[in-house]
Amino acid sequence: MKLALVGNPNTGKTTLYNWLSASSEHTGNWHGVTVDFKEKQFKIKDENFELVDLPGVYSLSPLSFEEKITRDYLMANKDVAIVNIVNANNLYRNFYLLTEILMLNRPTILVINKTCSEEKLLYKVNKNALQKELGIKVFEVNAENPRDVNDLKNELYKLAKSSTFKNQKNEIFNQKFNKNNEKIENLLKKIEILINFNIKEQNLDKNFVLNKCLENDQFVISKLNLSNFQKDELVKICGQISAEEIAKNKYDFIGRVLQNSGTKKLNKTYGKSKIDKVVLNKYLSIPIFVIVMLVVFYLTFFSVGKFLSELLLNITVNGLGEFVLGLVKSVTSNQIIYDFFAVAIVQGLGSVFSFLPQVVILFVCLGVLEHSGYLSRLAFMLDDVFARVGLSGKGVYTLLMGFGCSAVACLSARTMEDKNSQIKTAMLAPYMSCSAKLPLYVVLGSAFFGASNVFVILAMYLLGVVVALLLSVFYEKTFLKSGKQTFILEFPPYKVVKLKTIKNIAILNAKQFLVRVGSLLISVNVIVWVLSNFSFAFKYVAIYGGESIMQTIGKFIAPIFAPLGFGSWGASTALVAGLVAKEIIVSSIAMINGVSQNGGYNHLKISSSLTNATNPICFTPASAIAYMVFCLLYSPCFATMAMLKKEIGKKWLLVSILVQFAVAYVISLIVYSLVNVVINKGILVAIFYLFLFGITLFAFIYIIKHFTNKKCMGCKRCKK
Amino acid sequence: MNEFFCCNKFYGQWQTQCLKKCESNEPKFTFDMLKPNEHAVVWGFTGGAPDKIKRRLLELGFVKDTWVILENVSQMGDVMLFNLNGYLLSIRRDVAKLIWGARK
Repeated sequence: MKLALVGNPNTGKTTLYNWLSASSEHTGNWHGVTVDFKEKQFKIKDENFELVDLPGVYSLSPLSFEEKITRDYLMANKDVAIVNIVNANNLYRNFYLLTEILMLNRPTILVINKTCSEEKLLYKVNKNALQKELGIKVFEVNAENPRDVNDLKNELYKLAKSSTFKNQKNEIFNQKFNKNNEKIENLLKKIEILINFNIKEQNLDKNFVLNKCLENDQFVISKLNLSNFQKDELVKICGQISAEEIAKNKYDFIGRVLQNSGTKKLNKTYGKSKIDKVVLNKYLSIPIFVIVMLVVFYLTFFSVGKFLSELLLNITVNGLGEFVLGLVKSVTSNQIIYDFFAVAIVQGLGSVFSFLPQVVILFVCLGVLEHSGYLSRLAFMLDDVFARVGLSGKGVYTLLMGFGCSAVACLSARTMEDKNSQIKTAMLAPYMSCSAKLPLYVVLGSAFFGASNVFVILAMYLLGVVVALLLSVFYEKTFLKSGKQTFILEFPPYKVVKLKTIKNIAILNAKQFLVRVGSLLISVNVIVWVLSNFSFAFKYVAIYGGESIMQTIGKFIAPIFAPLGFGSWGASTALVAGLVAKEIIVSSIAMINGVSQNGGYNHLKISSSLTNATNPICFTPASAIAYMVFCLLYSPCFATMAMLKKEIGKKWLLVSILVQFAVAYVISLIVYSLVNVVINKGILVAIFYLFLFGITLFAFIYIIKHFTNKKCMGCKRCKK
Repeated sequence: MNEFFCCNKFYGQWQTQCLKKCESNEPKFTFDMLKPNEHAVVWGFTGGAPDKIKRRLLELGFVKDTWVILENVSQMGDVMLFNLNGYLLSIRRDVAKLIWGARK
């Protein structure tokens, strides 16, 4: 049996999906976590089930892309049984979707998800009465409780065996609903006469289509293949009733159903909490936000993350590295093979692998934010700022997830209501400093700035956000106008994040990280090693030996980066290799600069090798910062590019890549010259230069505006 | 004719006709004029409401006779947090401007 999980956003669809099909899909306590449909097969006893998880919707008339997925899936798949999940705390609103789903005439069951304990529930439901009233099976479960889910599994098994369920047509509901309002009933009859033939021809669900035609839903109407005459008649019929009346009718019906089934509602508000008085306080909200972000930053880079990273480095990487090298030495005395293991495997992989704890902690912190319910408050707070730069407050989700992984973040931009803001938000996600760039900051930062690398790393993160917001203004003013978008967002309640959830996030991300290191990174490292150690004639030259393939290529590219201060062949080829995945920048540096003979791996060794001018890759403090800035901003990794292409199309992908490269180049040039001035001439001169630069920029923009904006807007300043 | 229509600026053509009548009444208002912790009842949408947004707001429960409380307003006042049928929903002020009703 095929089951589709449908429901309002944040009602626990994916949680139930994970329990039922034993998966580990991404969940969270905010609206729009799931933006794609997911399918999995599982077995209950001897019955095969196919479970589909769909993005949350408010109704079957979608606004955003991810809502379209749900509607299209339900309209296209006629053999699917629908599991409608509703939140026990918000039945009234959730039942609006139920009325639309029941019109589809598919076998349907209602699952009331009780997300909190019995006493705190806002709605007290009489299950049997509700079953009678709606004519469908009703189950009450707590999707986070395995015992409840097991009970549900047994019930699903019974349903799959019964033929009455498979042929269920929701007649009781449809009769009741159509008799609800005489005016609507009459109009529906008129429409039925008008388009009955088309519905049969296109093989659509009659009741659903009739009601959607009454609502003047253009998508459904376009599916019907109506003649011009029919269209005109339909417009006339629809003109007799307003959208307000139709919605009112539905809510009246829902109210009656709830009343007749003896449902009681407490006089409380779902999601309202005393915490909000502090978190959304006029004066405290911003400081709290800053503190939360700093705590995340501190946990990742310093205290716990750093400690664990060093522990891992000392115990595993060094120990394991030496063990591997010892093994290699005992097996073969070939210098090339030994070099390969020492450089490509131990050093290249070790340089990234030791960051496992830090990356996992970063993801756990983001996960805690997601599950606590704070994210929606953040979107509410920051929408003020985001609206002014042409984004929606929901962009907060995308940008925050961008700190974890850009590819995932691009996907989450689907929740935007219009196409332009989706493109814009997806294009801004890669500017957030993703977790793959984290090793580079630590290695370069500790090499050149010692104890003050805290501020340098923090500045990188801030720079990413600032550049993204500025670019958003640029896009809004030029070619991606989205105007005033709607920002409609529900507030989920605060939740205590369970240890189990944290554990799951940690394990999931650790796994992903290890898979990445184990597959992608190893293969690229091997390629980079071969390219940097062999000449075009395929002779082993070692890194210092002479003209390796990479060195030749690097010398071609290097002049581009010379103005930025890192015009060495090693640094520029590392950037090219970094396009595959950003971790590779560090591993390439480790491999190109590596002192292979001693075996083992140490951050300090890499760091100190960077300051040594005789090495292929060396930096000055100024060029190190410029390099970090460039890596932060330049074109995203291939995974993100593929995702962007899928989400926003080839044209915008190209724009995004080029703009990112240009922005990275310009900003690192500015940073490089500025830091050089600070070091050589003192900070006052630098401020003076910055001031001059600002004035020129301002004048430039003013001149452009003055000459392009020739239309007289009719202000009172001049008397034209 | 509905009294509200006379006063609403979206129905400017009638405004002059009914101005006298309206002046005597308490001013009718759109929801962006609500202040925190004030109660209001939804009556409908102003003429300028785009179809898509109107439909979404109706789905979310802004139907006629719904009781609404303004719970909170964001820092710069651009986003409003409504308590609607027992749950919290935030919308921008320019969207709230599309909804009209009566203040308690």
